[in-house]
Amino acid sequence: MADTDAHETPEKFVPRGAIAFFALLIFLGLVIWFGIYFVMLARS
Amino acid sequence: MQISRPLRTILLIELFVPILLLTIGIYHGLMQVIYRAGVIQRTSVAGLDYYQGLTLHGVINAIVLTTFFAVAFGHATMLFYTKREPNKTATLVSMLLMVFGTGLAAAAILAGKASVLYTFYPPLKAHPAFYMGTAMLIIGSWIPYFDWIRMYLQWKRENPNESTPVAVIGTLVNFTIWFVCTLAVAYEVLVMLVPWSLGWTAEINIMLARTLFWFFGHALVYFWLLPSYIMFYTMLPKLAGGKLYSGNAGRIAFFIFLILSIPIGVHHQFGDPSIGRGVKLTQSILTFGVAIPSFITAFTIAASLEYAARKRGATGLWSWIWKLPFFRKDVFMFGYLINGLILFIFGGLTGLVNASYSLNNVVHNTSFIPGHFHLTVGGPVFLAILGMSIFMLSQLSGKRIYAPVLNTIVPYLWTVGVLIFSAGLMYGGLMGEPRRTNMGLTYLNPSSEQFNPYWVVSSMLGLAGGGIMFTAGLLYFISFFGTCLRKRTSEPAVDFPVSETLHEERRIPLLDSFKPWLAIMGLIIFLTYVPAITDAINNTNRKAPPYRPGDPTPVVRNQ
Amino acid sequence: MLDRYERNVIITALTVSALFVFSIFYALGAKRADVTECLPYNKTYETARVEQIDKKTYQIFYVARMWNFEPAISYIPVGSEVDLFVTSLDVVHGFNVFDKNVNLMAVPGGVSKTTIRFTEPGVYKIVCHEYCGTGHQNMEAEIIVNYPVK
Repeated sequence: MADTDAHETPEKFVPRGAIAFFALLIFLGLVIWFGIYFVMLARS
Repeated sequence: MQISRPLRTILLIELFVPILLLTIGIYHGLMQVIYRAGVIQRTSVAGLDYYQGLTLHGVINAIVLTTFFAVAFGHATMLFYTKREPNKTATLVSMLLMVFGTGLAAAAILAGKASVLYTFYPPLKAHPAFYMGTAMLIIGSWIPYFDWIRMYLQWKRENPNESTPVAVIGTLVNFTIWFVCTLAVAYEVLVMLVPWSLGWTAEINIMLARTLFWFFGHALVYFWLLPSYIMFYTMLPKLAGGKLYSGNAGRIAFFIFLILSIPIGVHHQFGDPSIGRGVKLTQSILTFGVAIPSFITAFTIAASLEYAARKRGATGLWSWIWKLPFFRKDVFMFGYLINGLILFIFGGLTGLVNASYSLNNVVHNTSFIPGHFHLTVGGPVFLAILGMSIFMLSQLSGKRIYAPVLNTIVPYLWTVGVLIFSAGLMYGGLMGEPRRTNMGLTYLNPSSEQFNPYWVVSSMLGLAGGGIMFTAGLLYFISFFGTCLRKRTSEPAVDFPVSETLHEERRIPLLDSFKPWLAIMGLIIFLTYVPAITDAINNTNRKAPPYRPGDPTPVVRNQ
Repeated sequence: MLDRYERNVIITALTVSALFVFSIFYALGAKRADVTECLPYNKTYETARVEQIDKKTYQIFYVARMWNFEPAISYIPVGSEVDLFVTSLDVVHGFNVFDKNVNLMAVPGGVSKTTIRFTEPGVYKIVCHEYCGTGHQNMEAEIIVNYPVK
């Protein structure tokens, strides 16, 4: 593909962005799941 | 790489037929949101009844399109990676069975003799042609599986020290799941439903039929999803201009799918009688297990994309995202795949809610459920199928894509539509809005005694989103059929983008062998489904005769 | 064999799953939030009726047919605990009580059971949410919670 000048080599690549994304994903999962969970508790 | 003429023709038919039928499927998708919002307050429009159309929408979009595509894409993948062609006769027979079966089922539905929805829940009865057509479609899709096993074993003998490509593992895992789970539905259809709908047997056990259906029904969603996963792992990093962060992650993900896709089907039956709570709780917990590969995939793909962006000079914790090749005609597949992944964030997480035992009481069979699955099967699955269908059409026919700008914006437009649509349906679902219901006649009809004002806003959001989705579908059809009508400009071929892995990975025998995983798969299915089926048989003490959808008295045949 | 970030992802996902499972068990114990109970079926469930067990405990036996529920309207005092039993005499129907965690399938030959408490007065609509033929969208019932008048 285009733009091949490597700013990062495979050896030292740390997926910081992906870790941040994954943390956000887990957070979103907790919000959605517990959102419904508390709806359930409120209705019982 | 090159492809022989007969195989090319078969693959083109397998891509063309479902997209042609999809025009009807998508048409009734739009009609449904119009009915449901109360804009149309009728049972049918233009000769097509709401529930008949809903059956078409489900069967075409969720069974026909997905099965045809999985077979065509599987052929191309196996051909491309093992460098050998599938058996011509087997491929032809398979295609003919699938096309003929689809025609039979479609005729039954269009004749109004099979308005039973794609789950064909008995005791609602359809014409036998509907059941037999569906069975033929499924059996047709089995044939390539055995042929691919032969190709895989041959390849393995010639390359004993090489790791099997992830795409080949994915394809074989997918069709193994498919073959095993469809055995149950084949039993339901051929042994229970067909003789019963012909009047040869008077009554059947409904709970057994439902349990067999859901043995198949949830594994089915992974059969839809795994071709997309193959594309995420083997193509998306390359399309983004980077490398796959971890190939072993992909192998692990596929093998977890193999062992856990089937023994979780009871999570669709939390509201059902006859099946014990212990079985329900066990299968609920196992469902968390099958979410693990999707979390792995989310991270691995994010890391692969980040690597691609960093190679382009991106910095920052979040801003790298904007260095990815969005809206680029030359890598339009990137748009289809990334939008699918964005939708799947919400689709996957809401799926966890549905499968979480008592939480299911809040959402079961409400419009929350279609809200959820339009973010999964209508998200990563559908977009990957659309993108790859036009990609393969262009390569196999040697024609350039017609109106490439339209083709490029389709996935973005679709995503906006689905997000609005699903938000509306889920919001309504939390307020008890039922799925699979012609609400325009009663609940959304202000002149009906049953009018429910709470559902106006949610169904209107569904209408708005559905309208955008339909528009995206139309743009796709222009591009797809426009491509069909073009002249050939290059040699037909099959050539997929191939992602290298970021780090060199040695062959790990455990992650390159099916046997141990197949054994675990069999064991877990046995342990979870024997109690479920025993419960369904033992606690159900009355069998049911067939009913037609329009008549509250059972169908009785003169002996 | 696996990258350490990948390993952390798996551990995180397992931890979150464990948290969810724990929360499900908590709701089960503290709030008796449970799914449909499984009972062996017999003919007595085919008669629709409301039975009062004691001052605060009721049982309603619902029978679903194309396209109505019986009893179509039941009256329950505020503060009652109600056992619901649902079956069907023809095809599969759904049974969802508005604003309550009652979400059952009415299946011929089987009986679904759950228990709810009504602490607030009101009209609780019940909607059939499983496609059951051409009259599906008409199929409703209600529970009227109206203490002390009955």
